Amino acid sequence: MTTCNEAIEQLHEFLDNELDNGDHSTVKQHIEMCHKCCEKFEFEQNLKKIIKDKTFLHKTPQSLLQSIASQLADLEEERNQPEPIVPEPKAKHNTGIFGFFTLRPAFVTMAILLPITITCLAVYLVFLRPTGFSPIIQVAAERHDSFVNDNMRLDLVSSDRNEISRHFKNLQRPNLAINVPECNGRDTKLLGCKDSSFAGKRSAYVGLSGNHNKISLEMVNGSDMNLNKLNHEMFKGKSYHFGRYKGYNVVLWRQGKTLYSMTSTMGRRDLMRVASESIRSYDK
Amino acid sequence: MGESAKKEDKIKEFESAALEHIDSLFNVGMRMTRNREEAEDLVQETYLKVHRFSHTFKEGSNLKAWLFKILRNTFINTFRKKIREPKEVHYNEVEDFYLFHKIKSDKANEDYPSVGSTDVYEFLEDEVKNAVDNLPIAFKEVVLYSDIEELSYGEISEIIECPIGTVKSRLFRARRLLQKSLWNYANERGYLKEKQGGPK
Repeated sequence: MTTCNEAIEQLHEFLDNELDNGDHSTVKQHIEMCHKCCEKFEFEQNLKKIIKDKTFLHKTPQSLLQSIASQLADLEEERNQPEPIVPEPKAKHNTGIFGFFTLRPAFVTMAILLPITITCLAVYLVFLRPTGFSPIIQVAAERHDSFVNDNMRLDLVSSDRNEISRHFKNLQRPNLAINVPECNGRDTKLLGCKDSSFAGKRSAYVGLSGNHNKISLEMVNGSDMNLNKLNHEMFKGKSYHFGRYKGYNVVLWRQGKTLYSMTSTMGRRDLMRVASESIRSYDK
Repeated sequence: MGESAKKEDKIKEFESAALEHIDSLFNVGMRMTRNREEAEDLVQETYLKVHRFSHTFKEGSNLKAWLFKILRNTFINTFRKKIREPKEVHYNEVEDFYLFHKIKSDKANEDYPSVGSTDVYEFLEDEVKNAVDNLPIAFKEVVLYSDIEELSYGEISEIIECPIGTVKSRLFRARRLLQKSLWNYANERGYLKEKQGGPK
């Protein structure tokens, strides 16, 4: 026989129709016989109904229903459109090394390729590529820098080409065979000269003034310095090496046994033009 | 082509079946959001998902429960609400048959044969709505699913992804809380006085 407590324990499940048939009828029997429990069960059942009736009030607004229906219809239409033909990606499952690269996201491939590329580039830049820099460029640029900033003491200040030539001759160097540029007053003007050393040999330094810039010209006889690491360029049939340091362009070229170096803030092609026009080969 | 036409019909059929439950979804949406505009957005979004995920519905399983599950997930995602059982609810101080006893003792002086009859307590629509609305959301939803949508414990457990035991304990506690707050609302209004006009 079911007691009141047992029945009440199952009250919610009974009202929610969650009891299996046997339990349900047992509780039902008890309620039918027990006035007290019947009252309570009826009360709870009514309450449940009241809650439903008083809260289930909201009819879906017609506008919402229509908008959803039309949206679904639109989507349906979209779905029925033949899908744009996307070219099938070629063989998706490559094997071997190709599979390794294609099956992974692009950035994984990048992560592998990028360091390799950087390493290759670095090797090329450091060891293989002709550069604009070499100690000789630095020497020429620094010397020109002190000339430009009037920190250089010239042995002879003169604009007379013959006087400068005589000066070098008087030094009685065994193989000092240079020619002082012939300035016709158009592009360049002589400022003075200095006995110096360059590229491991004694050199003749000549200071010139261009239209807007000062120019340093340095001449060395018999220097066997290797210029191949420097960039080079052909200009009017002659090969010039060039480099840049501290904002100065340095152009180097050989003429017979003589190594010439010209430095200025001018562009390197202007320098080459001045070099080819003003500097005559030594033809003794 | 016959195959795809058949498939198309099936989808249409499925969607119109889903639309039959729109009132239920809207009603629950209203109670969950307590805001008409938000409820409309919620329901609209739910049906977009129904369309998108129609292929995940297992034929033969409960469509209504599946719809509620989508509605619930949409609600959680849209409003970034967590539906968790509140930590501090003093439902234990609400005894069984709270409302029954309250009303009965209140009516003791009057000559009603039984408080079991519905005309004894006339709760106003707003009172019931407020009582339901103000339940903690984890309790509110089980009341909505069980009392209003009349879903089984099993279906509810599927929707809220909790064991049936949890569904039961939440539901029973929710009902106790609901009774207490109903009584408070009714008492504030003093419904007994209104009823003095006499029983039907």
